Amino acid sequence: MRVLSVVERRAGGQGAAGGGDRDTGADDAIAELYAAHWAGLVRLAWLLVRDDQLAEEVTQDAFIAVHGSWRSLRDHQRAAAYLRRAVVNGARSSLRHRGVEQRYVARQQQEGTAYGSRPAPGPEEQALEQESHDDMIRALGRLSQRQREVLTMRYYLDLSEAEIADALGISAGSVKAHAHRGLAALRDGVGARR
Amino acid sequence: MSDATDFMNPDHEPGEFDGVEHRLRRALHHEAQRVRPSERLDHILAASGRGTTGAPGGPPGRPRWLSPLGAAAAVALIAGVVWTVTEPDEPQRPPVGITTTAPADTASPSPTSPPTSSAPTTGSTSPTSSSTPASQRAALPVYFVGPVGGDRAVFRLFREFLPGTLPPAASDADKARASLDLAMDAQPFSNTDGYLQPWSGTAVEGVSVTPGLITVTLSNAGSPGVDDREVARVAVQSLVWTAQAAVGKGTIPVTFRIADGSKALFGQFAAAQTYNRPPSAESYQDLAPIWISQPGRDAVLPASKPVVVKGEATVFEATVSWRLQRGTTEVKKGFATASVGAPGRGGYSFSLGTLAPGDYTIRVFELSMEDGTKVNAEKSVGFSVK
Repeated sequence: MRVLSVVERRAGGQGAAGGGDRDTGADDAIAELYAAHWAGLVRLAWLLVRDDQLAEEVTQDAFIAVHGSWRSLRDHQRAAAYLRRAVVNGARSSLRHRGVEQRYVARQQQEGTAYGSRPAPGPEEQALEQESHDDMIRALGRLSQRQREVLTMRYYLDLSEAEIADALGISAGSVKAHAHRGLAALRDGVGARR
Repeated sequence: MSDATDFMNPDHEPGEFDGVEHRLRRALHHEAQRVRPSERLDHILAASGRGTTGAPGGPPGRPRWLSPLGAAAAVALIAGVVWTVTEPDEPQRPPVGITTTAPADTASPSPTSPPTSSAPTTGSTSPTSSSTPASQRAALPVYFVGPVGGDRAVFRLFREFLPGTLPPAASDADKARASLDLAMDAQPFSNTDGYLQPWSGTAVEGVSVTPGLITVTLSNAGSPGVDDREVARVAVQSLVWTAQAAVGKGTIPVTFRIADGSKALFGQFAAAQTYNRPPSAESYQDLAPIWISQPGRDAVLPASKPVVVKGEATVFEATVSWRLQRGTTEVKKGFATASVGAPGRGGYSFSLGTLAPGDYTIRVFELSMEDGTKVNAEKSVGFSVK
């Protein structure tokens, strides 16, 4: 689905709004970006770091950074892409910073965080489906960070190969390779455990 | 948007991954739906130089986005790489679709999401500029001890995001220090919200943060007027939640030192022991049952848009009641459902529709299940529509 936000449609018009000491153009633009992308990006960050607090922090920082550099963004149509890149990099950086890659797996097994609390047990099919999801998410947690990023952006955000390459700052060929290896590992990993 | 052939590798058989792709997609979407992002637009705008959270202390008329240096540094910090934002000859990229993935139900605030510092210092790199970067304005998370409202004399924590200033490339200790300094002073809210001031005579003398421990040095053991053990406990927890939220790295235990040689906070809680926030399923021990996170206190909202109220609640059967008053006149009332019922903490959200210009108070409360009239807990926030 492609949705053009008002921000994108009136891209380029923001500069004219300046001149005063209040850049309401940037505030409005950020508010619109927020409406369109906040929840999706927090969820993306959460899938990458598995920590509710950290996911919001990373995403909030991305918005603040884009707000701060609004006037110097040459291409406002790409604001959403900048946000995505900042979120993925922020998630990566915070994971690296904290040395918590291993904890990723532990975190998704523990039910401690608010976001991670399991829904109340439902009918049997739901339980089975939940189990299947859990298997898959656990397998995803065993992949490399890069593979996880590529697959999450591909299958959660439905981004194209070019967009993922752009967001991660790697070549399209690498995206292909990470996706392929990741999927193969998932197939084998999940399959072997069933 | 692309199709699956994007990922066609030379050695990728068509259809080879159909099954796993399908399962992965469903698992990711299912998993992501468990996330209930809390609302932070106010905090983002506040941290960007102007906000609705009410901001003393900021240099008026000089929002942060007028400081391209600070902004660029922030971007570099976040991204870890300098974006091509100002590069004159950015190569033309193929047009890319912007996927709006935000589902319609995005809005529920997070259940027990601990707040986090908004300081744009997530990255570990340093600004590349050689000039002196400006201090960062940030919305800092602070927990105060306040009455849960209703008919019970019970005090629990309320979270506020307050404007503050962080040094460039603030360390974890800087962030904790800045938030804790604010937590010491509940006076601005004591008249309007009834927040207690257990730390009004105490100063933070130092903070150190390691991956396993936050150590807070206080000038004294806290106000001698606090003798209720439960109030003292919650007052200690206010610093624990504040420090952990400011550092933003999860539930790092917190311990205290007292500079005047006292051994116990409020004479009751050993300073040297470690403190932590309870597991999220037991957050009700510390957090007030009802928070209103939006609209922000004294926010001024446009008459053209519906007013949406959001917050967090730990309430029986996840039900909160609300009343909207304009002046002293009740104009609307209703119920809302939080995403989780007690003992869980759920997000709730409801719309008041578009409102005529004026000054309003929204009151969100929980009715006692015993007789349906007694109020167990409540919170009110005033705002204006223009």
